[in-house]
Amino acid sequence: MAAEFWTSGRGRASSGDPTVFTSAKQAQRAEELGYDGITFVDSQNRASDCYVALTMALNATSKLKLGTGVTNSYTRHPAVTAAAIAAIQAESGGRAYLGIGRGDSALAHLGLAPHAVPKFEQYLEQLQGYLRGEDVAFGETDVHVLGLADTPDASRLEWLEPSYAKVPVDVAATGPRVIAAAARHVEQVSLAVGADPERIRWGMDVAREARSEAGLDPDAISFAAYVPTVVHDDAETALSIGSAGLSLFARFSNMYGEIVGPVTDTQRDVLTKIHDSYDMHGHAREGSPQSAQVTQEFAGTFGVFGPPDYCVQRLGELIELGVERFMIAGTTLDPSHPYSECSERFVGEVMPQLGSI
Amino acid sequence: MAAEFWTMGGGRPTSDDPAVFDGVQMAVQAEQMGYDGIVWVDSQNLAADCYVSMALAAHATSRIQLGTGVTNSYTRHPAITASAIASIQAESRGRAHMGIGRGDSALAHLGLAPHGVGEFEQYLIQLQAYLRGEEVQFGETDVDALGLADTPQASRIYYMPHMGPKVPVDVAATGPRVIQAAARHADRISFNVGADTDRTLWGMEVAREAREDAGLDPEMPFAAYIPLAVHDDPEQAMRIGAGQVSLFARFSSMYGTVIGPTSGQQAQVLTDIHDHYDMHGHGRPGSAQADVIPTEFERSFGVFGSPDYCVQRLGELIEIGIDRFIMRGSPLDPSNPDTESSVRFTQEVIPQLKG
Repeated sequence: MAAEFWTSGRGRASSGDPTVFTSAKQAQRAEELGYDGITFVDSQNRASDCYVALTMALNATSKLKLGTGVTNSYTRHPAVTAAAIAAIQAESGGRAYLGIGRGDSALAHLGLAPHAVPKFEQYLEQLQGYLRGEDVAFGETDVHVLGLADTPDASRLEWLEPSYAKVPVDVAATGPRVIAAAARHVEQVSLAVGADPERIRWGMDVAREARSEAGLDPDAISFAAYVPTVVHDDAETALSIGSAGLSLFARFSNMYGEIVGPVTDTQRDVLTKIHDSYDMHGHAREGSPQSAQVTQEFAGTFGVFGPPDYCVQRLGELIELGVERFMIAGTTLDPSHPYSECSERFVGEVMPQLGSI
Repeated sequence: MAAEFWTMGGGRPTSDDPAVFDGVQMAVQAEQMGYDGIVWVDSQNLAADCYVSMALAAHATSRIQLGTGVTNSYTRHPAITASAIASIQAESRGRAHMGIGRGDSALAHLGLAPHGVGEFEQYLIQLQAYLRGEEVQFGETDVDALGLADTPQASRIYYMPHMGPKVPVDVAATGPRVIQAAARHADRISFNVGADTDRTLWGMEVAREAREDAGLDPEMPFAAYIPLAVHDDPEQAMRIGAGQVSLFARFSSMYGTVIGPTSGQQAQVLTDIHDHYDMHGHGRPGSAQADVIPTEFERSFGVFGSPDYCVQRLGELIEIGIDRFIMRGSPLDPSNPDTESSVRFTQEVIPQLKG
């Protein structure tokens, strides 16, 4: 199967200002360019609602796949998350996808660290039960105080039609415990460990081992990768365009000040500096203290920054390893932005060589 | 100000079956008929996501107001709820409305009773602050575990100033403690006490007193949820609206104790509804709870009859200060012959009350 290439959008509601590059315009542009899918981040304090954005996007497109990238296991009950993405699935004619993680900026802006791994795993189990149309057992229950004559004794999305295809769930994962939890419960793991083949291979091994231990087919799971990528003939310029996205994704490998997965000394040094300087106010923003820490050498392994042929070679290595989908972060879709040419060149000069179109 | 008349939609997603009358078609139809607003229930196990329905409706309509009817204070963090309804506000160019309660079927299908009133009031405070674009203090916090160089010290929705006018928050309320919490923090209260003027006046007094106690101007806008169907034959009107009275009347006897002023007979019926309530039959005709309601109660709690009768009943409520009605009972689907009830309501009742 040919690899898929997805881009990322951000919930921007149309407030009547025609200059706003809305969620609908982002999706339209991604479809026109030829991306396979687009995800909208769920970070309620920084971007407008992802399900509203997905709704506007499905209205504006006809074949583009649409997902969250990512939601989290904390801010909505799993039944609400399942109902929201299943509604997108029904309204889009089967183009929905649920990307989920433990919560980074969404939780930091509520004063919280990411959701604990066991709670995350339990959320995944419940979410998958709901999306499959199954009964989900109640947790703590107090409905009996109402003295109802009869009431449901388990929870199920009763409105789901069997004709809707189940929404695939994809966990964005960096650490081994999250990779293992994902491997036990979801259809796809999106590794957010950078573009270094060693680190990708390590993540895949962790996942396959967890599946084997759980008595599951170790190969019956697919892998995607979040890869900070910018196409530009000059690698330094490419990095300057993508350094904010690179620092955002690199931090996941050193979330609590402890580095995750195999790293070189250079990678360790930069990951430590990114952690120590990380200012959540500058999350994904150019010129932040954390983006100033990335070096060309680090970027050369952790991201993909350079001319089209270089990008083809680097991403091709990951396809060889078994990555089937790339969540490309780092280049804008907005045609009025001077860097949008990077997206156009990625679709026009990189994707065709990798066999997507 | 002339009263407003709102209807209720259902989160039915589009499917490949063109016969499905989905949530968006309901909004389009309601706008064409002349309703002022439409609300979608947020009950994740029984209906598709309300914000998805509202976003599609925002795109498909141009005038009608769009709201939740109702969401709850449990299933989403208040920042998520504020973000979602503000997104609808922007996409609809200022037509959004936030209806919220403590959660009934949405929570019962998770094994839970309605959210505690104290927690509900706390949620309202946070929701309103987010919607005003203000900072909301963190509750319990553990973000320090990340060792970030810098991180926000409070929670604020940064883009709120660009989303249009502040979304009004309307609490669906029946019991005195919820009415009081709403009176202190919401922009409007929608009573769920039936179409009885004595009970509605009681709710208004509870609200005004709570506002005075809190040092606020006692006056605030009031709405009413009313089961209603128009037909020259009241029996037929009750058939069209079957299932709605038991749904709304139960709120007056949620835990088995009857709330607000009632006659002896009303109290008995409310107790019977409570004792027979089967959540599987929530809002459905022919349920155990619907079958225990005598005609006399049904006609006093709801409004079922000819256009002139509806004008008289709703007019009484307008007289005492209700300026918005949220009505459930008449379908919007043109392929359903009972939709004539909605058509006649908008053509023969609304004009008399607006005039």
